[in-house]
Amino acid sequence: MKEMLTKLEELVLISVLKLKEEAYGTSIYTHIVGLTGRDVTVSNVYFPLERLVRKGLLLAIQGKPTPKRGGMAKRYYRITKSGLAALQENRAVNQAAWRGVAELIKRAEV
Amino acid sequence: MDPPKLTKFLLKVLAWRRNRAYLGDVEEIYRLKAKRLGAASADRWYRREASQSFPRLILESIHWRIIMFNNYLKTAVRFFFRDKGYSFLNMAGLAIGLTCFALLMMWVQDEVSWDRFHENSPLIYRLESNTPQLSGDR
Repeated sequence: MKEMLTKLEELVLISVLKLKEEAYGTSIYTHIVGLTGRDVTVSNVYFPLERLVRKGLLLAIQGKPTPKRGGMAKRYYRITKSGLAALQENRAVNQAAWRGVAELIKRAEV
Repeated sequence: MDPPKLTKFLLKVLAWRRNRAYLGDVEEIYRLKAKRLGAASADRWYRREASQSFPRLILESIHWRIIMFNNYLKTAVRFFFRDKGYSFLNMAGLAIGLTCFALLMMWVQDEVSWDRFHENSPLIYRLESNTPQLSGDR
């Protein structure tokens, strides 16, 4: 079986897709914090990012260093074709899994 | 407006080799937070971020070290099979050295093991005398 995306990987992929040209560590981090409302750490975002790069779902591009980053270069990410495919598959699975769940939650008696 | 010095130093030591972009992002977010929420809150965030990242950063560096070590091992084995003569010399030298060490060690151990069971054994002395003889072999 092909490995499924974890939740964080899924979120990271979606953020990279949404942020287009501006997808690098800081922007992805702030986007995910905004989405989840939880305090994830920056390294929590970086590990899935690098894993996705290794799997070939993302492409990493080295940027230029800037002074407000303590002289450190940015690392931009771009989604690849297989990344898009994985996201598509993930979406299909999610949709299938969630079909009718809202109704069940509403009607469930606890 | 700079992050806590010690924490920054530790983070830098751990992430410098492989996660430089991560360091930059942490720094950038710190500055954003400091501007928006004040230095104290940003410091707190920075410390939390660092302390939660340490275990994984350490694990990662160990992981890469093991990979490097495997590489050294492989290089050594290849060299061994390529330059057989030189490797033989190397190994033989090491073997002879180790053997000498073992033999010497055994001799010394044997020499110092006499009469240990006596009370006040450090006070025991051994007297020797050589008597050269005219005819003799000595």
